[in-house]
Amino acid sequence: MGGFFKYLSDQVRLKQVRKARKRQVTGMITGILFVMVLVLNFIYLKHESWLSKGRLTPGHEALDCGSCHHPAEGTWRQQLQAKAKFVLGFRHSDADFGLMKVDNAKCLNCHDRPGDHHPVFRFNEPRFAEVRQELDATQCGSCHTEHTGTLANIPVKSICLNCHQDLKIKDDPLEVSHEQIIAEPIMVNCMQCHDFHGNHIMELPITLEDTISMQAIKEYLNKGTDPYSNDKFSKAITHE
Amino acid sequence: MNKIKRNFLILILAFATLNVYLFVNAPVPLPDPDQASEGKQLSVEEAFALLAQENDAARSLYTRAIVGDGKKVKLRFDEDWESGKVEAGPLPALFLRGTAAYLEKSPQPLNLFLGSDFPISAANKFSGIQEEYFTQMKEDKKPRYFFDENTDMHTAMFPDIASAGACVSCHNAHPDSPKKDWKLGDMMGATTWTFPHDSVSVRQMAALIGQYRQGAKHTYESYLKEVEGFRTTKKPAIGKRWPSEGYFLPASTVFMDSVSILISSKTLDQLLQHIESRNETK
Repeated sequence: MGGFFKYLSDQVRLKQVRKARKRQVTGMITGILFVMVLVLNFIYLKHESWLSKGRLTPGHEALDCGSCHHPAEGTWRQQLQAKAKFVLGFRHSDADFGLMKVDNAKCLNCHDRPGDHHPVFRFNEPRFAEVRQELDATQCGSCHTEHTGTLANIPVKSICLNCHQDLKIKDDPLEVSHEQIIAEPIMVNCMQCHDFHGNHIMELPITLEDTISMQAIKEYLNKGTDPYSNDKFSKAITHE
Repeated sequence: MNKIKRNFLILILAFATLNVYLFVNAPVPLPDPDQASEGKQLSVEEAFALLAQENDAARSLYTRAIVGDGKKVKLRFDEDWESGKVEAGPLPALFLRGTAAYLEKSPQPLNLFLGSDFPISAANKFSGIQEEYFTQMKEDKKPRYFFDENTDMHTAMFPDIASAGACVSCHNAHPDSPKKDWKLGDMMGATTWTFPHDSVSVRQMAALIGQYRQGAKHTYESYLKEVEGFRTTKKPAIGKRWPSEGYFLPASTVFMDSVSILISSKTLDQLLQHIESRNETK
């Protein structure tokens, strides 16, 4: 009788063991397949989009991660050491870990050009303290945040008035003077005539009727569809 | 209790291991860009003063010998010189702007700006803390040094004096100028310099001066490049001769050699004096 019960319990245990092994094998095969797909993808396919936080800025589609994200100086161990020293107060500046910060210098490597109407460095001047609180124009990324899929992620309002409120133009050629427009910014937005960095070769409108529509400006900021002109004073440096 | 003791022991061991990993058996430390390298130190005020006189020399030479004399031989200078609309060279203020833009891209975190209480472009009008200091400067025409808490930068403002006839005549004649009665010797504005550290080593100082001169050279070369692209205007001959001799422009090396002749010995003398005074105080 006892032998029969032992036989039954052995059979049950054997079934459980087989079931567990089957699960193990299935798990292993799934794991191996998953790793293979991952490895193959990283080797042969465009895997970088998986790592990207979001869509690239219009015009940057052809760039790879390494165009902007460069390895930080030193080994991971040196970087950790520098960070630890910084936290403990034995070092003046923090160190990057893994990758370097993407700063203005990276952007200017391709986008630097003479005659920029609003180069970022100008906003470092002490007198722009209030403006910096409104919009930190000292950093390219404040307006052109990467991985948002937009050209510029700024609110479409008259940020220009932070500095150009007292603008007076002698022999103003406009149908409605600049002074009037500044007094009533609702009438027309500065961007409907002027591009912020002054890089477009274009005739400036003189009448309100000829200004670029706000819809077109929004399209430009969101999708990069250029309403000003296709001719530019200088074009960004590309890999080609 | 035992569990707490065990966890504490693990924590101590982990910390000790990390300590050995990062410090005892340490790799070569990464260079600290914010730490002034060894050597005699100059205060940031002394550094600003040396740079300001370099700037005065380069800009005065450009204003007098290029713009002033150049206008006499019909060379054109315009605020839109880079736009492609006109065939002209940079006005003195834009020469400084070009140098400032170059400094911004250089490794040393040095910034340079130009402003005034009566600027041609309203966007260059002083306000806030700079306006306050500028008002004080008008009393004695002396520089002001301060720490700007908003930018976390050591800052200096130096008077910008009308030293050449071209400064006065152009500003008085410009249609957008809010002041038309400038005279030679007037304080027309001020340059503002900013730097994040309170001192620099001699080596850093040399790098800063070199950087400034490179900026001035680069801006002058941009002008010469513009000249080479003139299509409707007669191109001045670029070489050893100056506009005072006719329709000529000096090459960038000739221009920078003249800057060097004007200021190098003064800069070196002052630098040596600063080093000597540090030795005496030690």
